[in-house]
Amino acid sequence: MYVGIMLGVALVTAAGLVSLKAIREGQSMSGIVVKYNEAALDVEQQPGVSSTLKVDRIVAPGPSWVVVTQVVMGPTKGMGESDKPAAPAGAMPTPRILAVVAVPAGESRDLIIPLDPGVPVTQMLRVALHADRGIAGTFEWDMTKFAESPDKPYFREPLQAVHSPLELSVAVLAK
Amino acid sequence: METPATFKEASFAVTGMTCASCSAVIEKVLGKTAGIASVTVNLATERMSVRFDPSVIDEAGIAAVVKKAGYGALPLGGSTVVPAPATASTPSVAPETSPAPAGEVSGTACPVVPADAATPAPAAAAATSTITLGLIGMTCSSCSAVIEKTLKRVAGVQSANVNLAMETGTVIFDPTVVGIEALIGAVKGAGYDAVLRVETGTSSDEPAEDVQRAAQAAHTKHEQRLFVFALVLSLPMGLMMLPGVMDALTVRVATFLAGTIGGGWDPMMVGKYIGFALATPVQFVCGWQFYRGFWHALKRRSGNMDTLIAIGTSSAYFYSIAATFVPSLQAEPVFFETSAFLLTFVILGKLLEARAKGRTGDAIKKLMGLAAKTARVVRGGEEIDVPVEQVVAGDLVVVRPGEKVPVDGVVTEGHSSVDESMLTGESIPVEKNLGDQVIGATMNKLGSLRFRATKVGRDTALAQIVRLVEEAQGSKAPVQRFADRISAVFVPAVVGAAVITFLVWLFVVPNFVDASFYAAAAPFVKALLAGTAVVVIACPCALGLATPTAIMVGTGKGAENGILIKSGEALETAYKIKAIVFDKTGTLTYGKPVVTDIELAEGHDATRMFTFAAALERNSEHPLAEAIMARAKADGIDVPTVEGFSAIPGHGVEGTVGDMKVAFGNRKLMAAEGIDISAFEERIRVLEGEGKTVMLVGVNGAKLAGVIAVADTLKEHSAEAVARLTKMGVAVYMITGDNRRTAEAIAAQAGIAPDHVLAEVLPEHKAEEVGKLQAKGLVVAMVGDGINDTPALAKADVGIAMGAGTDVAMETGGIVLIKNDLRDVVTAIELSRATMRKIHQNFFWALGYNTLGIPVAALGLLRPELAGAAMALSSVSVVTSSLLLRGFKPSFSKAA
Repeated sequence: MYVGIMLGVALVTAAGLVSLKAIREGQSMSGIVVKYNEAALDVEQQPGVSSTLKVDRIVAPGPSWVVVTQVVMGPTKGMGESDKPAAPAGAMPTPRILAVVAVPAGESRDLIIPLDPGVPVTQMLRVALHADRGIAGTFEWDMTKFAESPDKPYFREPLQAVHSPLELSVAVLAK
Repeated sequence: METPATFKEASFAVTGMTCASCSAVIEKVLGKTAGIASVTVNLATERMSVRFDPSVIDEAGIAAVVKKAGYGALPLGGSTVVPAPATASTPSVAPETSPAPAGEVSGTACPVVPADAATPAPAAAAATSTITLGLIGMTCSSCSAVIEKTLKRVAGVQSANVNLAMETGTVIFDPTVVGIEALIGAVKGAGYDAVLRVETGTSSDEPAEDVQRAAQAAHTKHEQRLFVFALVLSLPMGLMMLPGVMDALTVRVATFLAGTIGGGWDPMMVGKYIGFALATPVQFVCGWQFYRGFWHALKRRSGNMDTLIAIGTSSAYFYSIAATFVPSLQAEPVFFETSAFLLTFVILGKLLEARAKGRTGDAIKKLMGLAAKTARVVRGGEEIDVPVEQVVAGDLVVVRPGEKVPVDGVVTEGHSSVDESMLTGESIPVEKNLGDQVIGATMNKLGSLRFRATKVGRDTALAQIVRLVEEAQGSKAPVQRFADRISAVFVPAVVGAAVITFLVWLFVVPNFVDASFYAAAAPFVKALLAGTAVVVIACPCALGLATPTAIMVGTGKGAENGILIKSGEALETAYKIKAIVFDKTGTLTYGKPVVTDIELAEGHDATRMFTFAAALERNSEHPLAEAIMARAKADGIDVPTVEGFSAIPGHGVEGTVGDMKVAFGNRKLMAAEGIDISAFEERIRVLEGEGKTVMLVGVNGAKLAGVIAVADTLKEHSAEAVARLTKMGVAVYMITGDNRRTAEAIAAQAGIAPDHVLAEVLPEHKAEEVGKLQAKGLVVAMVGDGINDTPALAKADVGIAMGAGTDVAMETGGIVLIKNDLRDVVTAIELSRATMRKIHQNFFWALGYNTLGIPVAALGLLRPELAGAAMALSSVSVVTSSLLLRGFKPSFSKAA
């Protein structure tokens, strides 16, 4: 019995130490961790793009999604150029999704992604690679509930001090 | 159905019971089994007592039935045969053999036993003992017949049976008449040899207490291992519930897995996998006992604690499984820690409960601790020390000054004084001489004693007390039926309530709350948690413990105070007593008249007058004469002989003592002698008014020498006890066959009102008087010495028998007072009231948790694992509450 108790204490202590270190290092994120070379995303800057976006290379560890979202730079006041409803003053508006395209596991090249015409294209677009983990073929990602969403973005290991998902920002609109 | 010839009664240790439903189930299942006459299961002591027909079922069969019901039953051995109605017994007949020269016995030729007439069975002796002798030298059945016949001829032997194949002989004998050495000598005298085969307990069975204790210890050890196992696996899950820890730890683990194994690892899923890995062993290793119990309950279409725990933990666990492995539910949270902690808390509760229950039996352990461990016996002419278990009835036991008397017996040599206070409460050591009885566990003070063991092992007075207390602890009080009734309907009601809670949360509540209410958890999840919490918090396991634990402690406390309560029912009824009837002689009074007053006429001295009276009474067995002789002995008076003694019926006695003609008797005798008593008339009237018997001593037919008054005096504490009872609101009555004047005089001394005196009542009418009081709606207790009070003791709602420690097998009366102190009647009632108060408190604790907890859980304000902790706490608090009864102190001791 005492051996069991000691084992339990050791287990909890180890878990605690690991957690403390991780907490100190700020390692908290909501995504799918993959080995560095098991996921890749290459996108060129594409000024002038408004209806489609080209992704040069994708390496997906499994069935995945390429997700294109707006890049919103700070809070807005009242109605902006976009036709989205005005956000409450001082709040960061939620970026909207322009495109979600399924990609198979493995390498894909030269993917042309049509952008949703109903969603305004911002100066910068973010292209990310998400896992298809929930119901296959259904994109299940809610920006407001990203921790619970199954189709999270990939994070490549080793993780940096500040975790970043596998995504790229692409300048699309002409200056 | 034909009534079987005999029943057997056996006790079992039962394992696996968790609540009153379990004990009810076992009783029900066995009650339906063929061959079972009656069964009583006690949850607190985990014992079962079964009366059964051995021709239909045996102990192994009973254990199998209990096992099939999902519990364990271990026979405790020592089953007793319940005698059938008396039938004519046929005398045994010696085996027929061919005729041979009589009286010839040789080592090579077997002796021939002539055909013998049937040997009538000897009359049953008051004391019997059974021993087994190892027999050496037998070669054929004639040899065994010779030994049997030889042994049966020994005075004190009731029966002897020789087994040729096993070379043993079983002898039943009266140990007060013949000893083992004599039996062995008889066998040797017949040309064979014999040695005593010593066995512990009865046959080869271990003492019941050891068997049960071993079973319980093994069960407890197993539960401890399960608890540690569950705790070791649950604690990390608890840690992961801390904010920040869950994210950090799971990210670390996910990173590690991605780096080593490869592939993509979602920390959220990793957290679920960790929970699954930790919770699954807990659910199926530690929780397996509940699934097993649930299954058995389901087969019987009933429910118990296992049902509730299995449902509660399974709902949390299997939902979490779905939320982990079903893709469409992977966004849902998991509750692996809920099921794991729930099981951990429940098992902890059971462990604490078992530990606390063990302490409720401390009184028994204390009583058993009074017994000596070793004894010095004379065997083969030598004094040897043996474990007390190896002493057999008939052994010659030696006790030196300062040693404990090991077993019960009769003094054969030596004299000493023995401290019997631990059993009889008699603080002054009792003188023991040849022929006196000694009681095991008492302390020999000054001299050395040798005595013949008459009762050993389970038959000693101490063992009988322990058994009485154990039986009382194992008996069910009527109030327990209340708990059983509630438990029987509680489980289905709880499951129903949980289902309703779930459905309301799932379908009704969403219509009344804002969508933000479900930000943290979906409606299904909230509904599941609320339903699970209701199932868990409503478990009535504490209810089943409320009564038996209090009764265990109460009866144990009674035993410590010299009050043997023989059943839970007696304990429960005693607190309702509103009227108490005391028998006078031997109960309120000492029962032995003593000389109380001596009045001298002028010119006479007390010693001379007393000498005359004692001389005339020395050969009389009348209690009054015994009082005179006892006083004469105490005063050291040398009682002379009488010449010309004559007894005059209705008057007294007369004779010549020395040169004096003496008359000793009543007024009528003095009048017949012409002796003037007018000078003492007033004093005589006063003495008679006090209920005393007045005897007059006249000398030479002319003068009155003096007056001697004799009375049966009130016991030292009788008045005190009566006063306290009256103060407690109990109406006190006295019942006696004595005349009214004497009765009222004694009653006045005791503080009993004249209209509460039932005098001149014949023994056969005492029960009727008790019945008359009961007809007034009073709960009546009868206190008597059990000899001629038996019908009244049986008629009363509570019969309280006064008894010395040597004879506790009083079947009448629910309570036995060992110490012969009437203040113990007060203590018994106080103890009963304290125990019933405790039982009601326990019900409050047990039901209180449920009553408060169910609405809280139904409102979704209680997490299931906390409900589990609360439920475990309720059981522990009930047992702990019962343990507080150990602090009970009789009011008399507080005053002292």
